[in-house]
Amino acid sequence: MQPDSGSHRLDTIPAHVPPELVYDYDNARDPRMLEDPHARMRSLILEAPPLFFSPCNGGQWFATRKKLIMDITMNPAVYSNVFRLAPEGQPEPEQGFRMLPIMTDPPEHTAYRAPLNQPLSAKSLAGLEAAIRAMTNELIDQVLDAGRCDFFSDIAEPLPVTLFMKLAGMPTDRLVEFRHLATQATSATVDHETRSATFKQIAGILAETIKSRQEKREEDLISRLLDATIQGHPPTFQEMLGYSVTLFLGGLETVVNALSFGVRHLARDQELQAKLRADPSLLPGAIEELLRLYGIASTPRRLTRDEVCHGVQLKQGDMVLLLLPAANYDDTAFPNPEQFILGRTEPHMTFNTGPHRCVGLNLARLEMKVFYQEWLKRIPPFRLDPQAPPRFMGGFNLAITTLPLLWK
Amino acid sequence: MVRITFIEADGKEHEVEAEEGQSVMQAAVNNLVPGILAECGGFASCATCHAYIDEPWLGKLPPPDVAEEGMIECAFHVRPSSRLTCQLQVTPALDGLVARLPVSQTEE
Repeated sequence: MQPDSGSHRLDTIPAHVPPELVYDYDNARDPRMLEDPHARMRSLILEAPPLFFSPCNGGQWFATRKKLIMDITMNPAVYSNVFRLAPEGQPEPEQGFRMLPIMTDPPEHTAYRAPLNQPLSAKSLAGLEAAIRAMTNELIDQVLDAGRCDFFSDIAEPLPVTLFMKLAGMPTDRLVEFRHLATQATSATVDHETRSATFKQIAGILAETIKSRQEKREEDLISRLLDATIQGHPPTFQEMLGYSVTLFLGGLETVVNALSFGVRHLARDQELQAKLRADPSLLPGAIEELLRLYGIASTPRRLTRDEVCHGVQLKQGDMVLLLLPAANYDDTAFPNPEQFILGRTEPHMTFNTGPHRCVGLNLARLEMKVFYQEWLKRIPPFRLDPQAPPRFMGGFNLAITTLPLLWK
Repeated sequence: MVRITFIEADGKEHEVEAEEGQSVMQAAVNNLVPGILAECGGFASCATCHAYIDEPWLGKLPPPDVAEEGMIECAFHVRPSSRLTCQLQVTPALDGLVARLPVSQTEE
C-alpha cells in the first residue's frame, strides 16, 4: 500500500539528521512491538523524540504526537501523498498505476475523493444495519455452543470482509484468498518482488469485476464509481483499478484488526464487559475509546521541499511515517493514555485527520456498534485462552494473527 | 476584521472576528467554537463544518461547487441554506454573517 518499507537498513545516517533525533525502530520487526504493539506505541512516546529518524525500513522519519501529525496532515502542499510504490530505480507494479484517491494531493484529491464520500456517508449506510446484524448473528450461531473460538478467524475476518466485499461488489466466495493477498500487500516483511506480484494479482482479480460491471451495473460501489464524473469525465479503466485496490486493502485489513484488539481488551477486563452488558447505551463511547487505545494504520508522507517541522530540518524527498496508533498515547492530548476512560472529549487519531481522513469510518463505526451489541447480548463472559495467547504482526498496520477465546 | 456570529443548535452564540481571506470554518476553529469540527481540515471531504447561513449573507456567497454540493448531500439535517463553512472565504461583504449550526454537530 505504501513505498518500500522492507528490510533495507541504512549504513549511514543522512547528514541533515542530528544524532539526538536518531532512534532505532523497525516498524515490521521491532521485538517489543511484536510482543505488544500498543504498549510499544506508548513506549515510543516516552522514549523517542516526537519526530525521530530510524535507519530501518530504508531510512525514514516517524511522527508520534497528535498535534505534530495534525499539522502535517493539514499541509498536503508540503507533506504529499504522491509517491512511488516501488523503491527508487525499480519499476512500478503497473505502469502509471496510482491508488485512488489516497495517492493524490488536493485539489486533485478532492475530485477523486468526492465519488466515495456519498455512498460511504452515515446516511447512505444506515440501510445496511439489518444485514450487518443478521450476518453477526449467523457467525455467533456457529461458535456459541462450543464455548470457545478463535475470534480472529471465526468472527473478525469473515464479518467485515464479507460485508465489505458485498458492498464494493467483489466476489465473496474468495474471502480466504483475498485476505491473504491483502495481508501480503501491506506487510512490511515481504520483498519488493513478492509485493509487486501480489499487487498484480489483486489488480487482475479486480479488473475482472470492473469489466463485468462495465457490461452490467449492480447495486455496489464499483458500479457507482463507473457512473461517477471526475473533473468532467468518467473514470478510466486505470482509475477504476486505482479505486478498487484502495478499497480492497482498506476494507480487508482494518476493521478486522480493530475488532480483534477491542475484543481482546474486553476479554481481559471482566468488569468493563459486565458494565457494557448491563448498559448497551454506553457502547458508542466505549467503541471510540477502544478505537483510541487500538489504532491500526499508519500512513506515510513525502516532503515536496525542504521544511522545518516543529524545529526539525526535513529535506525534500524525505519520507515521514505518521504513527497514528502512537498519537493516541500522547499524554498532551490524552491524560493517562493507557487507561480506558469513558467520556474523553479529545478526538482520537485512529481515522487520521486532514483530507485523507478514513473514508470508511462510518462503515467501521456501524459494524462495530452492531457487532458489540449482538456479541455482548449472546456470548457469556469471555476471556483469553491462557494456553494460547494472541499473536501480533507489524508493518503499516498493527495486526493480530490469532485470538483464542473461552466462555465456558 | 469581519464579524461572524456562530449560533449553536441550543441557541448559544459565539461572536468572532475573522480575517479576510481565511475560511469561515477557520475563523470558528481558531476561536474554539464548538460544533465546527472540521475533521478533514478544509477540503470539502467530511461535512463536519456544516452550517445554515442566514440571509442576506447567503445570497452574497458564490454558489457551492460540485465537491461541496456532493458533500452537503451526505450531511444530516440539510436545509436550503446549508453550506460547508470551509468553502466560504471571508470577505468584507460578509461582515455580520450569522451561521447557525446543525444539531448533529453539537450533540454527538
